[in-house]
Amino acid sequence: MSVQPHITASVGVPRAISIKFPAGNQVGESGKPIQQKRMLLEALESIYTIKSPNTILESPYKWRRFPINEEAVYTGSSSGPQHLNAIPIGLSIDELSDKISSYQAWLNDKLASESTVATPNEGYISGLKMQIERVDDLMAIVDDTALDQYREIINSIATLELRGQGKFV
Amino acid sequence: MLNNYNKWTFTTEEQAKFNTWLERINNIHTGNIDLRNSEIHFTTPSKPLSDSTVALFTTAGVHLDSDEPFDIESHHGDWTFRTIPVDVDSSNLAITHTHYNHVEADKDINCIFPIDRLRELQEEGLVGRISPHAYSIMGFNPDPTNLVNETIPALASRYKLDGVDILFMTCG
Repeated sequence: MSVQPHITASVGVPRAISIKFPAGNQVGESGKPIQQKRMLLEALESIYTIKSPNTILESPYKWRRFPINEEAVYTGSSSGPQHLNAIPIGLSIDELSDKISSYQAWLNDKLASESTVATPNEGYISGLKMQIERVDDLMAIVDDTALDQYREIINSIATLELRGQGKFV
Repeated sequence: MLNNYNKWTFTTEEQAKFNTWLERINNIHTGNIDLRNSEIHFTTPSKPLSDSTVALFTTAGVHLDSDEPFDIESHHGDWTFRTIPVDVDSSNLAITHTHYNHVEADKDINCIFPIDRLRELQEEGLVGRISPHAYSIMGFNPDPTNLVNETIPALASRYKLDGVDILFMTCG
C-alpha cells in the first residue's frame, strides 16, 4: 500500500495499491474493522489482478472524515497541524459536497416524477438532464479533485509544523 | 471486487511536481541518496490466497512496547529492524516515527499495521496462513545504503525461512 504513488513508481516495485487516505491511515480509520478488513483484502486480491511489474492500482475510496487532525499528533511535543484555515477548508468541502448531493437528489426526483406524467414536458425534462450533468461534473471536482488536494495540504502542514519545531530531522 | 480500481499513471504534471519535491528533499537532507531499483523482480502467485502464507512488513516504525524504539533523533535515520511475533496482542504495539501523523494508529494499530484484520481473514478461510513473524523498520533513511545492503537481505532470508508466499507492506 502506498500513499505516495509518485515515490513508489519512481523507486520501482512489483505491484502496489495507491491509497487516497492520509499517511498513517492507509488501512482505514481507527475502530473501523469492516473498512480496514476490506482495504486489506482488496490489496491482497490485487496480487492476482496485477500482471506486470511496477503496476499501481488506485483505490477508489475517498477520505471523508473532517477535521482529520483535531487532536494532538506525534508522540513528541508537536501539537499537530493547527493552521486556522486548514480545518474550515475541510469542513467547507464537506458541506459543499453535502449540498450538491441534496441538489442532485432533488433534480433526480423531479426528473423521475416528470417522466411519469401522462404528457411529459420534453423541454423541461431535457433542461433537468442538462442540469444533472453539470451538477455531476461539479460534484466530481469537489468530491475528487478538491478532496485529494486537501489531503495533500493537511499532510504538508503536519510536516511544516514538525520542521518549524526542528522535529523533522 | 477490484473492478472499480483504475490504473495509476504518472502524468507529466505530476512528474514535474515530483521532481520539485525531490529537489527540495535533497536540499533538506544532506547526504540523501536517491536509490532506485534497477531491476524489478516480479513473481506471479502460484497458489490462491486461501492456500497462501501471508506476512506483514511495515516501514511505519511499529514495534513491541517492550522493544527498543527506533532512533528518531538521528539525522541519518535508523536502518535497523524489529521483529513482531504473529500472536502479539495488538495493544502491546507502539509506533516510533516522526514523519507522519499516527494519532489514529496510536489508538488502533490496524490503521497502519492490520494484524487483527489479517487474523480475521485467516479465521474466515480467505487467507491460508499467517507467517509467524512480521518485521518493521522506520522509513526515514536518507541514505538507504545500509538498509539495502544489510537489513533488506536479512529480512528477505527470514521471510523465506518462514515460507512466506505473499508479503503485504504498508509505509510510514
